[in-house]
Amino acid sequence: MKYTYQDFQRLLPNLGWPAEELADKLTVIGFETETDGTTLNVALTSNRKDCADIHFLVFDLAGIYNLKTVADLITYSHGPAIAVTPPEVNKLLGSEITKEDWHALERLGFLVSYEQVSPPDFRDVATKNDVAEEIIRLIGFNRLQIKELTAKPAVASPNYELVNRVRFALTSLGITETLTSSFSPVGERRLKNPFTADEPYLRPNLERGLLQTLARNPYLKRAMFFEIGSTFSPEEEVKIGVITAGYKNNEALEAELSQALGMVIRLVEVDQKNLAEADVKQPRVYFGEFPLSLTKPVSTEEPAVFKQPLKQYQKISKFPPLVRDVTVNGADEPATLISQLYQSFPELLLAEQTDSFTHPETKKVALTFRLIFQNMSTSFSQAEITTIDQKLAKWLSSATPNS
Amino acid sequence: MNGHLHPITIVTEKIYEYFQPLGFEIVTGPEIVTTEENFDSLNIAPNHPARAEFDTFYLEDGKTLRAHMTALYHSAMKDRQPPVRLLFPGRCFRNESTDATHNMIFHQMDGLVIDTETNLANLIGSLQGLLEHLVGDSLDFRVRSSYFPFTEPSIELDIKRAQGGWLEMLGAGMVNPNVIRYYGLDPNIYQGFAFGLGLERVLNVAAGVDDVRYNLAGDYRYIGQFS
Repeated sequence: MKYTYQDFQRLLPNLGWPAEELADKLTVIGFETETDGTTLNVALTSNRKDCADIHFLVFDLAGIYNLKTVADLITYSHGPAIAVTPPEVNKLLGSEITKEDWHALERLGFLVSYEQVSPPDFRDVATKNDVAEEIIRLIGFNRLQIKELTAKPAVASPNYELVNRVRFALTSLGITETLTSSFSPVGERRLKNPFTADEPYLRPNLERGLLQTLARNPYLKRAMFFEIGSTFSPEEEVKIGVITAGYKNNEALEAELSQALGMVIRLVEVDQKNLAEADVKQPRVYFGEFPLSLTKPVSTEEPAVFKQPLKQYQKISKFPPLVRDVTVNGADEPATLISQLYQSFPELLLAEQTDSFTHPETKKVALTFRLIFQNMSTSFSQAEITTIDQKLAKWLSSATPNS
Repeated sequence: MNGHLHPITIVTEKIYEYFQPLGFEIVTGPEIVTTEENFDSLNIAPNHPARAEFDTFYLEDGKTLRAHMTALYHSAMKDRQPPVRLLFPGRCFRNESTDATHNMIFHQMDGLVIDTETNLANLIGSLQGLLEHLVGDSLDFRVRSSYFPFTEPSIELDIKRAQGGWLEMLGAGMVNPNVIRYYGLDPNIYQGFAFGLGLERVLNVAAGVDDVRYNLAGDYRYIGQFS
């Protein structure tokens, strides 16, 4: 509802708040309000339709903040009495209200005694919880004795723990988790009111979403993604989907997956037609899907990220990234190398180790890194790419003379 | 050499990390729910105006996609007796336009506590503790009155933006007596709180993610940043 600031001034002769402050005061007591200085746009919730009439809104505002109004602002009678006492309200709120607080309900039109209150007949107030809400609006949240819940012994959450064990097992094999849309152009469970006519079904499997994930990342020549999510064919079932692209030897991965998840896993090459439809650019794409309920993932250690503070997001460019895979020989401190890379290349968005190889005789270690560079304002020019490559070659020779 | 966990997974775990020592159990459940679970059991009657506010997806068989994780409370309470402390993380659906701050598919973490003594001050204290756990204690926040059919009193918690103004962070409140009655419990004995937290909003506030659509886009440059 839109009201003018002058409306409030007319009904509240001593109103001292400017429009912005008035909007804040209304918002805090349950009337979310925006203002441009002269008009106040008040969002009325479905339990406060009475305030579509500004006289009732001003009556409520004046009651809460104890403001003087013009005479005969509204007329009303009282609804049925509600049996409720101050100790009952204190138990709900965690408050210690005084007799004065209790009788402040009268400013909102209530008839008040110690054991019951009668709300004004225009209010949707019928339970002790409703009365407690009016009390907290009157006294303010600062009056509560804020207190966290007390500690209790941890309780097992088997389904959540199973999903996490699968996640840890898959990421430990180098597979990255993705989340994709639940809607699909084909399927067995149809929506009555789909968002678009192109996707009227719930997804029957996870393949399409995972193909779209590959298509989103054409610069990753080799990639592995998984998703754990509900499928509908037609019954709802949580499944695990895995997709790989660019790998020559999927048998080794299948063996590792089977061992990690405690069930036989087979990946099947994706049909060229499906790849073309999803606009997937990578070669050798394999997909497999299996029910979460059949997995028996081996215990794996909780990933370090769970114990670290949440990392801050770095904006990603709308322009294509530049990806480089580099191998550093004779190095054994990947964290140091990654730190050096971030310091040396301001265009570097992501630097991550993707492989390692220890020579069986010399025991020397070779580390492979994937580096993703980006330019926020434009696509990389050939000159910029050459500069980055030259700088990278220089960095590599300084990191290790054998690179 | 490890793959990456999705940021939604990471932030879910960060929230659980706060609640686990308080004895919370994580409950999971289906994305397709009945209208009873989505609305009726939450004090939202068929003609209640709040029902229209959820922009619900309906299936041809009359069921719905859950519009909020609150839809799982009813089935969870069928199998449990108070005292309970429950968390409900998961995917939700609303048939609304998509932009940088809204997606028709999004993720929520709901919490439900029912016993004989947990009060509004405990709710605010726990939410404050959670926010400090996620973003540190430098955050300025305010609590304001609000309205949800399934809680009474209802509150919303806003945090102060660096650039000025307030950002709505989450909705919460004391469980409405009608909802407690729906679980077969006596609201004169049992009480408790409920809250619903958007995980995309947490990523926005705690990690600076400025577009919710990244979470379902599958862009490796986004997913790969957080682990």
